[in-house]
Amino acid sequence: MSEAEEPPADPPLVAVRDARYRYPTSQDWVLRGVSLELRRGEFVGLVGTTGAGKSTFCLTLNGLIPHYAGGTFEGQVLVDGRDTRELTVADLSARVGLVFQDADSQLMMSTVEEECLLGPLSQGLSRAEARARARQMLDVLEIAHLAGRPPQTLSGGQKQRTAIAAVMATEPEVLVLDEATSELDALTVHRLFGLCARLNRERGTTILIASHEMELLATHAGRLVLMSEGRILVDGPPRAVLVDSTPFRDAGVRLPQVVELAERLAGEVDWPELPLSEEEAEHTLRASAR
Amino acid sequence: MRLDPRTLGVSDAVVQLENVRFAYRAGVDALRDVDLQFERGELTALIGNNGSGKSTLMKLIVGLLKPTEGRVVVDGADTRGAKVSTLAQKIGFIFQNPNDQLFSNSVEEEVAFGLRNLGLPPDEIEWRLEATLEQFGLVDQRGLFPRFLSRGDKQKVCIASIVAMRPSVLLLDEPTTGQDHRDSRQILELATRLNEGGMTVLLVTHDLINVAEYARRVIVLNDGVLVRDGPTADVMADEALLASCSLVAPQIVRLSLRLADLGLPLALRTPDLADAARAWLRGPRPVSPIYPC
Repeated sequence: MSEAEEPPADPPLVAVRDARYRYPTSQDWVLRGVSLELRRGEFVGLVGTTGAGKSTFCLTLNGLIPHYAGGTFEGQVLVDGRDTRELTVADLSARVGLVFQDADSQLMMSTVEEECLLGPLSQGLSRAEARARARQMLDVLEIAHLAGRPPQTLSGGQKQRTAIAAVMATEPEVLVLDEATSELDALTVHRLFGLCARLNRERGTTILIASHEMELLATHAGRLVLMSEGRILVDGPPRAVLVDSTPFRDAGVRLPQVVELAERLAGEVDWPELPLSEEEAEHTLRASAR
Repeated sequence: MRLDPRTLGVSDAVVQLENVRFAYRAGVDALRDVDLQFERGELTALIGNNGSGKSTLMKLIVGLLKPTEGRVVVDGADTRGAKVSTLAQKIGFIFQNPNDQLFSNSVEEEVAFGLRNLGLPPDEIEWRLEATLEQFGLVDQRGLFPRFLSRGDKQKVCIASIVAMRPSVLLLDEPTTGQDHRDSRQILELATRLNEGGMTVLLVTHDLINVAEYARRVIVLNDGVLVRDGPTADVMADEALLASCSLVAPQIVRLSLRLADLGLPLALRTPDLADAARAWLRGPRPVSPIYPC
C-alpha cells in the first residue's frame, strides 16, 4: 500500500496511526495496527465481514475507545491534529458524529424531538436554533410525525432514523455510520446514501459508512477501505480497488453485482473501465453489441 | 371461477391461512384478509418492510399468535386448538439471532435436547443425533461450546437441532441479518439442500439478493396486506410493485430489465445474466427489427 501523499495545505481531519486495540474481555487484538487518514470532504466506505474490526475502528474516531471501553489501546488517533486521548468524548462528538449499529444504545431521551435537540443544545445553540435543526433533520428522515413519541416505543427502523437524525442535527464535521441502516427498508437506505452524498457535496461533510451495501458504497463512496481481522487490506477509489476482487473474496466480502458481472464477462466484453453502476454496465454492454 | 384445490381434496398444503385477520389492539389490524397456502416441498420467501406484517404472519404460522379472525392450519392442526409444543414439532423456527436459541454446553447436547423433549427412546435419540451431526458436518465440533462458534456455525447448529426433530416446515427468520456474505451463503445453501431433500422452507427476509437467488416463490406483504404472491422472477420484474412497498430489486435484476429490449431474459443471479449476455454476444445477432411505417 502506498503512503498517502500529504499536500501541506490540507492536513488530515482524522489521522489514525498504527492503532491497536484489545477489549477488556478479548484475548486477541481486535485492531492490529490500523493506519488511515480521512481528509476533509471525503466519502469513505468501510467494508469487511462481521468481526473484522469495523465497529471497533469507528469507536476510536470519537474517543469512545480508549476513554470508555477500557481495554488496551496503542497507537494514536488525531482529530484535527489533536490526540483523542487529550480530548473528551464531548469535545470529540461535536466533530465526529457516530451512529451506532444498535440504535437502542444511543437513544436516551423521552421523545424523538428531545433526542434531536440534545446535541445542538449541548453545543450551545439557543433553543430556537436547536429546534430549527432538529425539525429539519426530522423532516429529512421523514419522522416529523414521531417527534413527540418516546424512542422506546418505536420500531427498529424508526429508532435508526431517530439516531441518524439526532447525530446529523449536530452537524458534525465527520459523520460516521456504523451499520446504521440494517433495519431500514431498501428504499430508505438508498435515500439515506443519497442524503449523505448531498451533505458531502453541499456542506463538505466528511462521511465514513461501514456497511454491507456494496452496490451503494461502490457508487457513492470516493474511497473504499477493506478491513479483515483487525487490519486494513485495501484502501483506494472503488473503481481502482475492485478491479482486483481477490482480497474481497478472500475476506468473505460480496462484490457489487455489476462488478462480478464484468469479471465474468471479461473475455467477451472490452470494459473501458470497471462498471460500478447498472447504468455503466448497460452502456458498455450496448456498445459491445454494435 | 378458479377451482380451489382445497375443496377438491387434492391439496398437499402443509400450512394454510384462511381469511386471517390479526389485531394486537382492537381496531388496528396488523394483518388482514390473508388467504395463503404453502405446499409441501416449497422454498418460499416472505418479504416486506418493517411494519408490513411479516413478523405477525410468522408468529401466526408457528402458533405464537392466534388469529383474531379466520384460521391457520399447520400440518392438519388448527393453531387455535393446538399447543405450542405440538406445533413446535410440525414447524421448526430458526430465530434471527442464534444466541437466542443456543443454551447447551456442547453442540451434541444442543442437537439432542429437542430429541429428548420429544420423548424418543434412547437408541432412536442416539441414532438421530449421529445422523444429524453427520448431515450437517458437525461431527468434529460435537464437543464444542456452541456460543464460541462463528455466527454462521452457530446458526448451523440451530438448524441442525431443529431438523433433527423432523419438522414438516422450517421457518427461517431473517437468517442473513448481521451475517456476512460467506455465512449467509452457507445458511442458504444449507436451506436449499434441506429443501431438495423434501423439507418445506419458508424464508422471512428483507434481503432481496438472497431472495432472487434462492426462493422459487415470493410473497409480498405491505401494510398488513398480502399484495403479491408469485414466482420469484415475476415479482422481481415488477418494479412498480416493489417501489410501492419501499423495496428495491437487486442490481443485477435492474440491469437485466434495462437490457430487456435486446432480447435478454430476466436474470435473478449474476451468473445467469453473464451466461445470457455471453450467448447473445457470441450468437448470431438478430437483424435490426424493421418496423412498419
